[in-house]
Amino acid sequence: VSETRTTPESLTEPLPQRRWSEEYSAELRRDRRFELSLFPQGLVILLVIALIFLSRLLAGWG
Amino acid sequence: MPAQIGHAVLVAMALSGASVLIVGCYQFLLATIHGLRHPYRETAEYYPRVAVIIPAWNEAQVLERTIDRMMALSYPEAALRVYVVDDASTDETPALLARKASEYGDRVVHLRRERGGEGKSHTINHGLREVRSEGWFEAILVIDADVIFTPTALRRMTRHLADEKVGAVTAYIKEGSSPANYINRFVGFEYVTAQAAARRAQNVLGAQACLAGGAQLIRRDALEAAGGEIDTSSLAEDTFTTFNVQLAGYRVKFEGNAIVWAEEPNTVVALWKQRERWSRGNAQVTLRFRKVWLRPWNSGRLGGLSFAAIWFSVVFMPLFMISASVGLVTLFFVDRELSVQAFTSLWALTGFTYLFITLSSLALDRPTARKSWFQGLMFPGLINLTLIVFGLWGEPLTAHFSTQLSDVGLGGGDPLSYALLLAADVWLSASMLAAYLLKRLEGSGRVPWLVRPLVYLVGYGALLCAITFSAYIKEMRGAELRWEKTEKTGQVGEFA
Repeated sequence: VSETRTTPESLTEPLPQRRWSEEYSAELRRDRRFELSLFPQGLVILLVIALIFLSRLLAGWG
Repeated sequence: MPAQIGHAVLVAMALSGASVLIVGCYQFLLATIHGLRHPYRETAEYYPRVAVIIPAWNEAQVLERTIDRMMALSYPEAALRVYVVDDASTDETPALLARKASEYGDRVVHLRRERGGEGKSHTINHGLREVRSEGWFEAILVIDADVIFTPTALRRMTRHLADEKVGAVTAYIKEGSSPANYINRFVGFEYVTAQAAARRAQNVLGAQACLAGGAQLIRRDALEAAGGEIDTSSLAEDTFTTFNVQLAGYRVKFEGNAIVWAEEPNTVVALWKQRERWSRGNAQVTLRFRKVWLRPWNSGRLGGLSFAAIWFSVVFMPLFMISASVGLVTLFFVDRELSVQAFTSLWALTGFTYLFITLSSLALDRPTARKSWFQGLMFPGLINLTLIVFGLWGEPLTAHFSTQLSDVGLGGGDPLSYALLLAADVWLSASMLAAYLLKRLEGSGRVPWLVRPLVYLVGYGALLCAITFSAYIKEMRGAELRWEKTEKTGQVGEFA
């Protein structure tokens, strides 16, 4: 699809630009969601480490 | 009182052995909050005219696919041109480029240097001069001849340039050798920590250490503000560019969702050659930008304490290992009980930080985790993992082994136990020597089957430490600065 090809006359926006815009929005949503997912994921890992630390502490180490 | 201070200094030296991992944890914590800092708030759909500069010297084996993949990017055709700077190649590169130029028309430009061999930075500058004199571009993208951009990588990067304060953007370079051997898998896992996590953390701090050499997108204004060309006096031209762009007042961003595949070294010797060059480059950057460190009033976020901690934890990595060994061994002779406590504390600290970093890395990049989970777990090496187990569960184990040793007439205070403790104290720095001997062994070609188990025993981390140490020795001796190309075969798998 070349960049100069256009949509039917009722629309003025070039076709690829419209397709990309849709893809761009979907991509952005996906990337945002992934970045936000790092926080709860990190919390769970911290919790696991804290539990190991506590178990060692309660077992008399430290 | 002076004795107490002396002991405290020795304990601090011993614990410095965990500093790289502690800073690593800090980076992972920052990476965790990356999404909460709205990394896409200032982005927008944006397709500037991008001139891709590919420095190439005898790259016929890998270049065709790189060009084809650039031409197939999800990016407006009219806004993308590829300039291959052929550094007097003697292989099929010129013929290949002639073919590609006829296939893609003016979207692929062959720039030939008749007198080459000056190094990558000179080759890139040749391209920059041509592109700047043409004046068509709004941003340049410097890439390596072998990297494979995933279809949306470039537009995921350019969206950040919609914010005029952003001067440069880099992508997530992933190890993509196919088939991948154990060294490739170690590198793949290392890149999760060194790029996916560390560079997200640097986004949060507002200061980036390095635009990955294989994917450096730089806005035209920022390039001009940083001098228009890249540094040719060092082995870390990408880091120099990164610092100069930021010191010119622009931000540099890492886009972790823009994936670029690269073929990385697959032997200890090749890894050593590549990383020694990087480490010497880092030493040069440290000295050249000495007025940047810890001067936030002068150099903005680059001069912050957090950024300095991240930078120097890597730069001083071998010194920390030696310092830990010296501290532990000295304590062993002056206060044995305290030396055991310091030893246990160091390895317990190492254990917790190792668990956090490893689990976080495996969760951060799951495709890489599926491929390299074993190398991730074995990153510190079997010997260090044993010491970590003693650090975390030391008392019960020590008690268990003491009883067993006592049963055979070797009690807890016997020479064997002390010799083992002393050997473990020395190991932190001795592991670097072991890694160096490992490289020599592989280089000699004798007993090749032994290299792999020894890497797992000594540890990939120790290997990186040894390379850094070796680089500093070369730098201090003023060894010749040579750009030694990492050999590429073009065996990068289809991942897009």
